[in-house]
Amino acid sequence: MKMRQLPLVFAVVLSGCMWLRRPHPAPLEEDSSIVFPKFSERTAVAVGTGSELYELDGVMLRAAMVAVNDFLPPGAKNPSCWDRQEAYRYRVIRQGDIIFVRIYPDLAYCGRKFLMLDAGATYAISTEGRILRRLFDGEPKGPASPEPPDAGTQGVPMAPGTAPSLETHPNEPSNFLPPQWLDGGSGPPRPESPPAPTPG
Amino acid sequence: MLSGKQVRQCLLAPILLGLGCSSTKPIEGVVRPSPGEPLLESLPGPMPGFGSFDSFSDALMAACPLILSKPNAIAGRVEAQDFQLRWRTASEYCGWLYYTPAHKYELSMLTDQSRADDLNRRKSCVLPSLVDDQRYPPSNLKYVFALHNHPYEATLSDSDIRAIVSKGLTHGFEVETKAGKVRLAIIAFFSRSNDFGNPTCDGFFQYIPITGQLLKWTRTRDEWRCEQTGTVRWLNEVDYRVENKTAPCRSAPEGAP
Repeated sequence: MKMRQLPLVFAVVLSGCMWLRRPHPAPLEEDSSIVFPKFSERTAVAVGTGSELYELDGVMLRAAMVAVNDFLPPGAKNPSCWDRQEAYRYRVIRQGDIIFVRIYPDLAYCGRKFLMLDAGATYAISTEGRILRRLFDGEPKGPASPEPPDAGTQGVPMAPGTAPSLETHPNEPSNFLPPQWLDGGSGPPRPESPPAPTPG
Repeated sequence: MLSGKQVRQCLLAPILLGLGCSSTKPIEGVVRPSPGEPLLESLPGPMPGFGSFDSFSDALMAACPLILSKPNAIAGRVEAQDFQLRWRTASEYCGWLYYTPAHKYELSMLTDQSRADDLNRRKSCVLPSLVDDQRYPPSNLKYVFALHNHPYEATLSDSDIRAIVSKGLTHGFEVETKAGKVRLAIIAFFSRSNDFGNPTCDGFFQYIPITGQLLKWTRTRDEWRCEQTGTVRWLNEVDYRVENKTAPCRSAPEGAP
């Protein structure tokens, strides 16, 4: 290697180290031992859909705000529909001193023009408002928890993508979707949210 | 003082970042908005050179290696030493497998458009709900499978499940084809390979809303195997329950789609 190429090599190595060590937003150290609850195990109480009176303590409110501001920092110039905090839905549950926040796209809000794949995140926030753990959709839950390597080898040979047989007769209505969704599939049963001001 | 592992990472990081930065270059078969432009609201179709298929199974088998061969589509195994670096530079690609009035299954162009992320931790793909195939009126196309890759062997996410149900609410959960009804589904391909230049298609996860089935398909040599990993039951437009129950798939009656 020529001597005059050495500065370039040093610059490349340095840039790699700087990237590895660049300051990342919170959290600096996540607690990977925290186990997230399954947010689909219970029905959420929707806030703001009726005229009921709800009360939220400041700790819960701050936790939700910390999560959403980390997920989608406010202040973007000319934000698209999906860059707005109101384009997402938020599920919050408290377990002891940890508040868990699940954020996922509100597809109806932006007019169902897109399928936002792997676009949510789950947070664990302390009662002091500190992010304890953050997991984006699809991100490994931890280095020690890969998917079972051969979990699929017990299956049966079939043509890929084929819907396997069900317990019920194939012509029976689906038990897995609300019946009103299957009335011709001509459109959503009701608007879930108000239309976005400037979809994009 | 840097350890040997840190030195290796220092050397690897700029290489991987360079690969990541080069993702602004055009990729064959992939469309994305120009910088500063809004997200694409439709994907052009069909994919040049992909061909048209009489069966969706054949189309899926062709689409899997095509999608996984796109730059940084795989991040290797989670337990690999450099996985975290690979993850940061990984990309998700998505597209539609659709059914045409000519009774063929075709693949749209792919996209890797996603929301900006300074941390490079989010791996998502924003799939336009529509395909623009100039040969046919838009209303004559039937959407069958929403396809994307997961950079490693990760199951379908909550967002994936919600996304395909949203599509079903607007376009229906089944489509009529020449061979009968075909059920709308979302699919995430994966590779277990560490050969980043030539990854193998090792399987995919599938969710079929109308049957509630969560499936895992794996490929060993030329044989595909199916395993049902659970069911999803929707209660309303935002709440669903997942019942995890692993069992071999039962073959559908002959001729069933």
